[in-house]
Amino acid sequence: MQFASSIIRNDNMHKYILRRVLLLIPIILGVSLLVFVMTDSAEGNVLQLIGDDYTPQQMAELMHEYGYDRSVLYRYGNYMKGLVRGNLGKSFIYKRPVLELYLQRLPATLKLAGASILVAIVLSIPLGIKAARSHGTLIDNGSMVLALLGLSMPNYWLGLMLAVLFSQKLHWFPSGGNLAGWKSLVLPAITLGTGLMATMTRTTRSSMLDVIRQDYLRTARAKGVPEKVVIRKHGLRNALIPIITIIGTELGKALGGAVVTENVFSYPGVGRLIIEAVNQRDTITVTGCLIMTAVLVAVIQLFVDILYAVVDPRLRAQYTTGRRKRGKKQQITTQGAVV
Amino acid sequence: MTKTVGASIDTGTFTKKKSQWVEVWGRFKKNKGAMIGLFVLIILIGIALTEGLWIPEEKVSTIVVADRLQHPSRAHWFGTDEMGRDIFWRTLYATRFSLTIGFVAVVVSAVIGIPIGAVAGYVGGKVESIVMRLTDIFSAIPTILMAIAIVSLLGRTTFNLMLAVGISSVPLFIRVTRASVLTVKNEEYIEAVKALGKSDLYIVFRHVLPNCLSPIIVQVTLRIASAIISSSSLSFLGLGIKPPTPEWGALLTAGKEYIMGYSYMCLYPGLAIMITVLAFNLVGDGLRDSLDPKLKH
Amino acid sequence: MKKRFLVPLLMLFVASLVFAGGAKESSDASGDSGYRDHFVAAINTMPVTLHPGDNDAPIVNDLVYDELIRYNKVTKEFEPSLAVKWEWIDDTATAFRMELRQGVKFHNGNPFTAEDVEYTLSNKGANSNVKSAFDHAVIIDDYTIEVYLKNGDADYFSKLSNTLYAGVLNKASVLADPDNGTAIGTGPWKYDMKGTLMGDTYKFVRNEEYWGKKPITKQLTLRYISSASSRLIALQNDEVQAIMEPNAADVDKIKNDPRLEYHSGTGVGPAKLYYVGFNMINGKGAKNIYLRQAIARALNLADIIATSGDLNAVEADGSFWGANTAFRAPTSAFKVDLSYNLEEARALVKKAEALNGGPIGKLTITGNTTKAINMSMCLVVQQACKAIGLDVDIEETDSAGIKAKTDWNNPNFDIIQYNVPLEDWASAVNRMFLPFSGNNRALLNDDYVTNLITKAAAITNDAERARMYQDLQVYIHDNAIYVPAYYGSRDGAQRKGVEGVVWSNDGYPEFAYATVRK
Repeated sequence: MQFASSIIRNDNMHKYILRRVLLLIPIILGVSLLVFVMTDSAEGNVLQLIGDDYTPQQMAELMHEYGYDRSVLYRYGNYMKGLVRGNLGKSFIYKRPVLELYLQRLPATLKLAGASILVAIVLSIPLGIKAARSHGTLIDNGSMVLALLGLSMPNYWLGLMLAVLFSQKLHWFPSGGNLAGWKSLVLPAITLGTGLMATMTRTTRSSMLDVIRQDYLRTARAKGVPEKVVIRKHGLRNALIPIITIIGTELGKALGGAVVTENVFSYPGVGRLIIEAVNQRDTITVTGCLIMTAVLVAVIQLFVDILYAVVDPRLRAQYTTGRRKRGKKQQITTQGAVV
Repeated sequence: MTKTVGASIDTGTFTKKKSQWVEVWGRFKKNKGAMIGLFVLIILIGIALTEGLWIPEEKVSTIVVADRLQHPSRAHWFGTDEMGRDIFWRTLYATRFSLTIGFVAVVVSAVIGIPIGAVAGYVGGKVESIVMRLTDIFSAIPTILMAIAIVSLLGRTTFNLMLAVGISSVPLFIRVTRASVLTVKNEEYIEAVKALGKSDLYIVFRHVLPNCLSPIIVQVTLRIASAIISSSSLSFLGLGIKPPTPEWGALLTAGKEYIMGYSYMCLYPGLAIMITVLAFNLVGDGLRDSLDPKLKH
Repeated sequence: MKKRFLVPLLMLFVASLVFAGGAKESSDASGDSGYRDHFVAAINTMPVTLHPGDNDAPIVNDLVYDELIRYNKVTKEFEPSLAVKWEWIDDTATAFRMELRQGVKFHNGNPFTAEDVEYTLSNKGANSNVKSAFDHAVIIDDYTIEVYLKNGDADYFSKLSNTLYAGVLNKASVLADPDNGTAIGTGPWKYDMKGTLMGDTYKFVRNEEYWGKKPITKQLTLRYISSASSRLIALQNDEVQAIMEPNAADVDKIKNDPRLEYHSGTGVGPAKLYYVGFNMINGKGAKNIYLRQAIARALNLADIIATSGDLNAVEADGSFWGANTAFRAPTSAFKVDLSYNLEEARALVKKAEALNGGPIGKLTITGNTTKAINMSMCLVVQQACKAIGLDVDIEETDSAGIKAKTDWNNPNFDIIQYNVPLEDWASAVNRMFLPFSGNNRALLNDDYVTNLITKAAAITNDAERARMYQDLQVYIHDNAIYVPAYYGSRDGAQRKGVEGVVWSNDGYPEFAYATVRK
């Protein structure tokens, strides 16, 4: 605790966090412009596509209400004015504020993403350690293929199979929805988590390999510390650092992958909202959800980066000493954004 | 005078490259997983290239009402679907379609991403920081959501699906290319060519890029794998290829409604995707290890 | 050493995400009756708004709102609901007087009065089926109202029996809160807005002050699950107690499962008519009656039904409406034989080519191919056309794409495969044949047809109306503008012990009085 507060009081750290938070602004602006223009000009994006039973007059009123009698730029300007005030517009089909719809669904998606990361960690860290310890053997190769298998399986296919086995046949877990508390989360999280396994296993394996060769482990071994203890006490702790840095990336991936998983399990998250909105040509909802998701991904990344900087003073120094270290900085910020 | 020097540099890099590739192949050969993957890929590509010659079209698309939903048997190895079409032939026939989608998508992202990344990395300065900021913006949206947005922008056709999956992974190629251009651009031989007064564009494409190929090749292989998965996911979400087209994702999507009583309809196309993607991943990983032995311990 | 903080910190972060919001699902408190307190049903259609008149999937309407007049599907008679008496006060079906039920309360406690009726028929978001004919209303007292229509509409009472067209709203609550006020009705169930996720989960609690028969179940949840196999898995797993429209391929499985019951809606009346229509504005068949007739004669309806997988489908005989309407044209009325006959179809293609002055060329068929049932029908039509030498491309799209392709100003298709729900004759006939209606997918703008419909609407004599409507059907059939293929059925499944679900064929199932025994 003392450690943490001393870090926060650090002036350089303040500057660093401020810079990183300010960097969010161009990203949000850019994303919103990109997404808005893209979805706004999407195929069939006219309000005429909504509702069979509208009279021409009702239609005209709606067009006016949503600004479809003006130019795209006018609509974007309007949209940004709203965005600043936390207003993402009103859904064409649900006739409700998009932000409200999004926030209703967000907790479910966060829960799913978090749970799937847990699943991935639980599966991949032991697997990676096992692989590293049996480096070069059949077990090593087998573990890596197993991890790759998770990545190679179509997510939705695994989901369907799990639902048939664990819901229909065994009745262990619900096959969908979000009405049964943590039980609802099990199958979707496993489905999504196995897809995230590969990168984590690979990272664990290679950082473990790095650590195993470090001098202090050799020293520990030479001192007669049992191998198990060496790995657990010295190896794992140090090997976990690189894994933690990729968790931000993986969370971003999970938020994307959740779109598919949520639709397999009829799980009421943001992904299902987006797909229904896309299918119904509810472009304003699509726009809002995409922008919010991008912001969320960026914020999570920021959080992980800051956390990492808190722990690694070298990095902090780089951020706060200006232009000279630009190259390095970009590497860090962009690393996480690869989703 | 100038010409001869330039030529000698070219030959120099060429011979170096050749021996390098032999070395890479040597290392690749030792990786059993990668070799199995390569073997599977050769078979799949063989099927895709020749299928027009030996797969009878009527077996793939003719509706036979009397043969609906038959479980796998000697007559229909993988069973038949709800329209009485043979799933074995359809799965086989879908190879070309599914591979094409993966390839085209990656070609799209490579063709756009590599030059941008190379120029950004080589030129540096303002250009680089603008490109990278735009890339940040673009990649703040998860790829699958980006692909969904692009498909709904362009319209839901097969070609647009490939385009969408391709465009959504452009940032990846920009990053990878830029990063490896950065490592190469200060090498001595680049300085030498610069001293000869060649144009920047010439240097980038003739000297810098060829020396950055390793990470790009790895990326291409791995991205084909994920492009196949992404496009089949989009099909599953109803945004991509629709069921009658023989494509694995679409076959799977059609089979999903029959998963209770006729799970074989989902099983075989799913396995096909899994095997193909796994093969690409194994080859990609093998390439990564053998192209950059430092990474493998 | 500082690194050691990182691991627990991150773990904490991830864990906090997992438990964010923490689901608190109240367990079923055991009631005194032998029934469960909570009933969950899986639906395959998504209610979108809280305004009854604007709901693409009006399945929630019957729960939350009451109609003014109730239509009894069994006796085929109107019965009192929020209105206790109603009668035309002129001969041309343009004015009527209505006496309203007293002592009815809305979910917010407001009393139901004549003002609410006027508002329901005329508010900004009111359904165009009632609003377009509504002219003005005279409120005589709180419980008596006279309504004047712009033009004769003999089916207005029938429209008032539909909660989509005229689910009764509370004027005061809508004016106070335009977004949520429309969620207030007088029906047996109240929206539980806290648990409702639009587009996914719809929760309702029992209206303890309902004026009519009160449900036994205390809580009702409708879950939107678009995939039929997922719905069935949820049913087998007792996550839901009833599901709409299982997959036809799974029906045997349901019948053989001792825990489940299969219910088909047959016998109540036809559900949807699946048809093929021709673009009458600029399609290749618009000016070529022989081409339309050729395709009609090439269609083997039995094949279409077999691939549809609809077990209770009934082959169409050419006339438009189902058996339960008096307005249906008998097959004997048709002057042109359009039954399945490939020889005749080929001959007609010859005539079509002669009329066209050359080969027909490639045709396009479009349909909402996101549903397998539509895609398979398109494929059968394609194969049938191939058999008579016509080349057809299938243009795949979804329901929104259909709306774009059938835009009245810029249509873009030759043939369309679609279906029309046959809930009631009056609105269906208007929707399908009147110009600029969203459901008139053939884009028919024919004075003869329009005149017949307008004239028939303003007559209260049923025999005379029937003659006009029959003429209309003969005209549509003989000109092969729409080719009816089959009457699809609606079905569902429920767990043993479930009672009170009405599995009707000519509308959505009704869950208002659904219960499940413990």
